[in-house]
Amino acid sequence: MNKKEQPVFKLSDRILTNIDLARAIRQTKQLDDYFHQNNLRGGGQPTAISKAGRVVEDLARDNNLSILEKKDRKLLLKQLAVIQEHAPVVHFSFPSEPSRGALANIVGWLRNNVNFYCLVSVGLEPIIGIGCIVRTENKIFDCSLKNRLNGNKDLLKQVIQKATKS
Amino acid sequence: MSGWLNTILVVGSLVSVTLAFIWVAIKVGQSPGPKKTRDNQDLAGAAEDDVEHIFNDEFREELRNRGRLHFEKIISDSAMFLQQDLRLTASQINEFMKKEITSTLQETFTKYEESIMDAKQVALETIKKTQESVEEQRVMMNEQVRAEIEKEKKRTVEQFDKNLSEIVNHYLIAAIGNQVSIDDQMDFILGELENNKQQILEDIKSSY
Repeated sequence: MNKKEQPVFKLSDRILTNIDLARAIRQTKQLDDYFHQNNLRGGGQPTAISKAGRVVEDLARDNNLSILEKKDRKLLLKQLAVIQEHAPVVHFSFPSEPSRGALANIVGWLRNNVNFYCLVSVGLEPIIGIGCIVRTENKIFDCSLKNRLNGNKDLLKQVIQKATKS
Repeated sequence: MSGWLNTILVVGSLVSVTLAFIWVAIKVGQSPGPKKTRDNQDLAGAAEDDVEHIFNDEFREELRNRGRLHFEKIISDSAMFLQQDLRLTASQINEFMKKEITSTLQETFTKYEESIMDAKQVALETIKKTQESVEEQRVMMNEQVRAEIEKEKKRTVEQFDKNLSEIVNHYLIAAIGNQVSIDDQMDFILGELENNKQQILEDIKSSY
């Protein structure tokens, strides 16, 4: 993927997983419903204010859309629906629960290097120890320390031999 | 031996004396002719009278007593000599028996000792052979044990070699696994993703 390319629709950095995306869609729909209800109700009547989530706000800002505009909301919903249907999901298995920041780093790397709309799903496998295991649609990538040590076994042997001889 | 000789001499002298008397008696009893016979008869009668006079009953009794005493003396001497001879013979027999028994016993003990020595020699040889056999077995077992140890060592080293990364990984996890968060591992994870970037990209492109 060419780093200079920019996506047509920028996905928020806060949307990392399918759950985040579903939440954003739900919030956008709620907002859309609110405004639609407001329009039906007419003016002068008190209503409960529906606050757009930060994710929805980011989406609207990053894509030059206005959540107040119906067509923009519809466009936003449509884009999010397309992303939900077609975005590649990469599964990561970690030894422990990753922080939001760590996950954001990983998703950022994926979106910069693989696909603008990559999402991740997270699983736990304590046996991994250090590192992670990445599963795409057809392949599994062992990014654990054990695999790295396997790949550098000769170096490890040399180090151990050196240490035992000294 | 000398006793027997003495006995024989004494008996011989008695017999000769007796024969002399008998001869004298026979000579005196022979008559030469009628005149001579008469003279002879007178002479014979005179001789007979003289003989009767000399060899009267007391004299004969004395002779008998003397003869009896002499005979008894001879008998007792003979008995004494016989006793001495018997004692000598008995002691000689004792000595002979002692000597024979001693030699027989010595011979038997010598044979027994030889048998013991032979048995001891056989036992020593058997023990020596057994020791040699045991030593051979020990050497063989040593070799086998050494070979087994080498084999086991080699197998352990191979296992260690095969599972080296697993061992180190396990050690790291056990030592610091719960102190290293995903954030701390981020550089490593991103590095691994970078290494596999092309393959990830191709797979996602082919799928989506």
